[in-house]
Amino acid sequence: MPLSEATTFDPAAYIAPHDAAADAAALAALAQWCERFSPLVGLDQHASFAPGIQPSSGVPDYLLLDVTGLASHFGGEPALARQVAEALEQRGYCVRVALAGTLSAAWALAHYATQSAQRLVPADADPPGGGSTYLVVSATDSWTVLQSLPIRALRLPADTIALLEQLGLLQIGQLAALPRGSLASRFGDLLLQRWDQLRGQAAEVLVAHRAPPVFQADRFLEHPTDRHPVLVSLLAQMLVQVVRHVAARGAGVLALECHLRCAMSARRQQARPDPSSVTAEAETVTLRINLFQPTVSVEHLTQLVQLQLEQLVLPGLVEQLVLEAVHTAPLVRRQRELFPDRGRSAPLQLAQLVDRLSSRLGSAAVVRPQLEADRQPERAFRYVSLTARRRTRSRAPQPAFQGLHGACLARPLHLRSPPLALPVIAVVPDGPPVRFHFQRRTHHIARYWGPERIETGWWRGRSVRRDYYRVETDQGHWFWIFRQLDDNQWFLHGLFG
Amino acid sequence: MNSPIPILNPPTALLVDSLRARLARWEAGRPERDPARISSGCPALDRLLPWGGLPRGVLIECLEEEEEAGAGGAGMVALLLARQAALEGGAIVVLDPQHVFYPPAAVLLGIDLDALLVVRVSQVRDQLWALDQCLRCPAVAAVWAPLAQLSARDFRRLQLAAESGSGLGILVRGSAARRQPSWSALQLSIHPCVCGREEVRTGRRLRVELARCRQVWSGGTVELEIDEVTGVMQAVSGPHEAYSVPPAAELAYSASGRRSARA
Repeated sequence: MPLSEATTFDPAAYIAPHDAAADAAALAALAQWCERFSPLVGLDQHASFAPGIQPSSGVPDYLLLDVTGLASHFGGEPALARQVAEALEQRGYCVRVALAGTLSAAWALAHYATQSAQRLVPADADPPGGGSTYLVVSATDSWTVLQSLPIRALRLPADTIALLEQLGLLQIGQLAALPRGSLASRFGDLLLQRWDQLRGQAAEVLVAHRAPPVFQADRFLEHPTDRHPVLVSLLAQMLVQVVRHVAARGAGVLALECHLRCAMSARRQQARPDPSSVTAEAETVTLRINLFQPTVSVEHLTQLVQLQLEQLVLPGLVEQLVLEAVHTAPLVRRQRELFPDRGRSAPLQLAQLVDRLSSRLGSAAVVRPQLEADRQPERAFRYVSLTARRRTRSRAPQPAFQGLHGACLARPLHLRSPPLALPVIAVVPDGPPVRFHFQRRTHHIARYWGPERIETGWWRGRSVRRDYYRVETDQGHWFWIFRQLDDNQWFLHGLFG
Repeated sequence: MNSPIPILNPPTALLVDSLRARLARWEAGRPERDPARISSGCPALDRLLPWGGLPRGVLIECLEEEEEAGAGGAGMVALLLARQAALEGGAIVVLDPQHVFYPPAAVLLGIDLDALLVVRVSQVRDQLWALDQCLRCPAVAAVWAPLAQLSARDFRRLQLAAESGSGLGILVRGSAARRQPSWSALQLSIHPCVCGREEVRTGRRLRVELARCRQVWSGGTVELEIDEVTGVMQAVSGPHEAYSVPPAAELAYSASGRRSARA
């Protein structure tokens, strides 16, 4: 009923807005709980046609349990259905349970066969919400029950239902009398599909709901401490727990988060003007460790945690530790080698090295260069962090200096960024450089290679137009200098190492 | 000297025999060739080195002629040596404290970027720690690190790290390092070669001097040219050895012996 009507009936009624996300979360929790009845519990939605429920898109609104072959463990199908209904009712839910030969049939019966369903509690007891019901229809006589159900029980779109009802097709059984071919052409393929699914002639897949597992360990310290060795050994113990769970799923830890809840130290509390406000105050310090490769090595992870902890200044005594594996990924199984080589190409050891380095130095400090398709020298590459999570791996670009193959010395080993303005003397205005001044002395150019003209970057607003010269001084030193064509200004861009 | 004499109570005759064999080896002028050596990529340079190539698990210093230039060729020779060390697999780690390293140059010199790791740290303490970690990792074939200052204690620490990881630690340093104590197995001094304007050549010509080396008398030089097309070091002349047959007595009391005793 509309809200205005409800308030007329009872002005004191408690009104709460509908929270679809909370509904979905509750149903997901219920799905997990229902795994005691069946190993395959699915969440599904067909909100628009359940009576009494407002249509809402994208939110699952019923549970599917695959109980094939399981009834004997619960003392038969009626007993199983009853147990499910009772257990859910005990949790405070009013449920309609139907058990049938096909998934579609069970859905139709649960939603529309309210008359033939059995009540858990006698109707005269008048339980709130009408009471939970359960219904078991064996495969042999399901058809007789289903025939009399309304056409809405077929889980069809609203416009198809409306069309069918306009044509006077009100019950499922009426469809049986119609020629199959004309049904598809008039009402769409979905009708036939639902029809076949209802009769068990077409398969229907139950997608099991699996909540993403949480790998977490938690430790409360009776004696708060800030001594690092103690914290490290406690974290190591917790890591063992977390890693064991992760490893049991054939996965490895890829990112780890470690929260240290610190009580404010007494000194800090005194510093506060109002001591009463800090009595319950605690500060949480979070360490985050990203790994290059998934691992289950507790030793390695402990080392990484320790490296970060060493650099941390704790605001107070730690009273609670929470450790969580935030990202996990399937572990790459490595076969042990019978004759291990020198370990030179061991990716595992390299991954551990990368983890250690980036744990202490930060992931921006441990990088791998990638070439970019850009002619401008300072943009010809970029660094990618090895431990920061990247979803997409960029395709290998065509390096812009493909034409330089066979010119191994065409680029300097050190690049000045930004380029250093140089006083250069060139005899001819557009000619090669003769000498330049750098690092408190004048370099006379003995030989030069070039110019290599680079004109690019116009799409970035300021186009780059440069003539690059690779020069050898009379001392035998090699530099990479360029003349900016716009203003004839010279710059030093690189040193050849 | 570098490997301890086995003293697990062998019969005296055996001990004497092993000592005799060792002495014979010294007197042969060249120490035993290490099978696990890496070719420097230039046969003439290999001949100059007592191991017939570069040994694994050591530090090598490449000295610039000048203190601050960074254009004299030491960095490039060091990178070429690192490339050689990584030929059999393994990663190259480049320590880049000043954020100036230019990876495209490494690509042109034939280094695979997938096997290249750049560590960009500015604090000296972190640099040394990172260097130590990389040298200890057996998956790292070579570490290329420009280091101006290095205390004796840190130097020794890095040497031990290189020994345990059996990679090659190549340090690019200024000429001032020549006057300082060194724990590296090899100190190469790189001098750019000057040539006349009229001489036609395309590559980069450098003179590599064996400034200090364990086990042999130093002072030999070889003149190299880094080929413009192939990026390979080729000998132009040399090796010129300072002492072609070093006297055994001097060898037995070489600079390196004193150094390792001090360490």
